[in-house]
Amino acid sequence: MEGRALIDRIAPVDPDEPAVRSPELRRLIDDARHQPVPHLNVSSTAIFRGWQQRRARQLRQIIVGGSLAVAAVVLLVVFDPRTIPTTGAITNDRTAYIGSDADPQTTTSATITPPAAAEPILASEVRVVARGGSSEPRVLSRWGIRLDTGSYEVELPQGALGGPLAIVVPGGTIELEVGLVLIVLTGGSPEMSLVHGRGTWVDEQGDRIPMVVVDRGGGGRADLPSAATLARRAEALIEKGDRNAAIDVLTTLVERHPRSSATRAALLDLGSLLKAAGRTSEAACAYQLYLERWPYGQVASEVELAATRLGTVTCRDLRPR
Amino acid sequence: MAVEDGARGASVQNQLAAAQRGDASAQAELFDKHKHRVARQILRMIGDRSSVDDLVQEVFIAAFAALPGFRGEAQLQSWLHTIALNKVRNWWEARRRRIAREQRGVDGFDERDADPEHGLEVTEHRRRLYEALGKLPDKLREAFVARGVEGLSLLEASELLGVPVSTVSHRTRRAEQALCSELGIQWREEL
Repeated sequence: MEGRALIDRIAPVDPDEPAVRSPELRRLIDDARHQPVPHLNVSSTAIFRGWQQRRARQLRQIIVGGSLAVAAVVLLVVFDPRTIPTTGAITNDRTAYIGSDADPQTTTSATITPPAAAEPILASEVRVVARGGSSEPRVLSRWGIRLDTGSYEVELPQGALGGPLAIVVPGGTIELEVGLVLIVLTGGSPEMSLVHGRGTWVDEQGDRIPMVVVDRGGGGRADLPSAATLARRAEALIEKGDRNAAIDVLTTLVERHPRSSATRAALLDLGSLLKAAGRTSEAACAYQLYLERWPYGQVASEVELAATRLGTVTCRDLRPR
Repeated sequence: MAVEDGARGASVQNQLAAAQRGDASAQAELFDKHKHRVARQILRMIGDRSSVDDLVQEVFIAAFAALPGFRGEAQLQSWLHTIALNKVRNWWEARRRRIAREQRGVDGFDERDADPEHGLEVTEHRRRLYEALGKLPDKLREAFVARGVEGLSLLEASELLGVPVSTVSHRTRRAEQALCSELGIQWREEL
C-alpha cells in the first residue's frame, strides 16, 4: 500500500485527468449529485439572531479577558519586589539619572534591569544567504549558526581566521572548513551540496562523513534536484503554509525543468500562489507561460479565466521562462 | 460595460461593508444571495438532507461573525465554501463519534431521508456512497467531493482546498481507490 502511494505521488499530474475513473463509482456519484436540495427552513432573521448572540458572547469574553489581564498587571505591579519603593536603593538603570537633577540616593522607583546577555555575533568572514521565505538563520556563536527551514547558501572563504563553521540543521551538523555549501531544508532530510571547499557532515550519532564536492560539469546541473523532488518539496512547503519558499521552489522547477510533466501542474500552482501573495503581475506571467506551452484543452480555458480574474494586470517581464 | 462592472463592484463592496457593520438587511441580502449554493455544496459534501438546514445556519453565523476579517482577497463564494468545509468536517467528526457511541453501522441515512420522488435504488446508492465517504480521512474525502461530486476542476479544487494541483490529484486518486475497495468496486486501473 505504501509502495502504491509512493508511485501515485511520483506519477505526473495531467491537469485534464478525469476526476473519477471507475464507471460504477461514477454512477453512484451521479445519483448523489442529482439529489435535490431540501427546502431551507432557516431564515435570515434566525441567522441574524444567532450572529447577535455570538457577538454578545465574544464581547463578554473580551471584557472578562481584558479585566483579568488588567487585574494580573495590577497584581504584578503591586507585588513585584523590584517596583516596591526602596529609599536610597542603588539601581543599575543609570540612564535614569542622565540629564536629571534627581539624586540617585533619593530616587525611589527605578527598575533594576539585569544586564542583558550579549548576543553572539557571527564572524564577519562568514556569508549566509537565505532565499526568500527561508527562516532567519540563528547565530549560536562566532563560528556556529542554526538553520531551520528554507534554502541557504553558506560560504566561508579561503583564509578566514578561525572556524570551522558549524552549521546546525535538523538531523546533524555541517562542519564547513572552507568553501561554499548549498542547503535546502523542507522538513524532511536536509539536502546539501558542497559546491567547493572542504566540509564534514556530522550526524546525530556523531558519525563523521566527509562531504564530496558536487560535480559541476554538464552545465552545473549535477546538483540540481529532479522535477519530482522539487514538486514534492513545493508541495510540502505549501502544506506548511510557507508560500514564499514554495514560490521559489516552483520557480526553480519551471526554469530548470521546462519540459517536465511536473511543470504543467507547477505553473498552475505558481499562478495561484503568486496571486495569493499579491504578486499579480508575476501571476499573469505564470498563466501566460502556461497558455504559451499548453494552449489547448479544458484547463487552458480555466487558466485564461484565472488570468482574466487578475484584472487589467499584464505580464511585463515573462518570468519564469 | 466597464462602468457597469465598476458600479456593481462598488455596490457589492457597500453591501459587504454594511453587513460587516451588522446591518440586518445587508446580511439578509447576502444570505438570500448565497444560501442555495451553500446548501447545495453542503448536501453534496454530507449527503444527509436532514442536516443541511443546521449547517447552513452555522456557516452563515460563522461567516457574519468573521466578516470584519474578510479582506476581499478571496471571492465571497469561495470564502463561504471554505467555512462550509470546516463545518462539514466537524459534522463528519460528530457523526463518527455518534456512530461509535451507538454501535451501529448506519446512521443519518435512514428512511426519513429517503427522497420520495426518486427510486429506492437511487437512495441506496447515495447511502452506500456517503457511508463509504464517511470512512475516508478528511483530506481525501474533501478532495474527492470537490472533484468527483461537486465537479470542480483540478485548478478550482486546488484553490478551494489550498493545496497544490498535484496534491488534489493524488488525494482524489487515493480516495477513489479507497472508495472502490470499500464499495467492492473494481478500480479502473485494475481492469
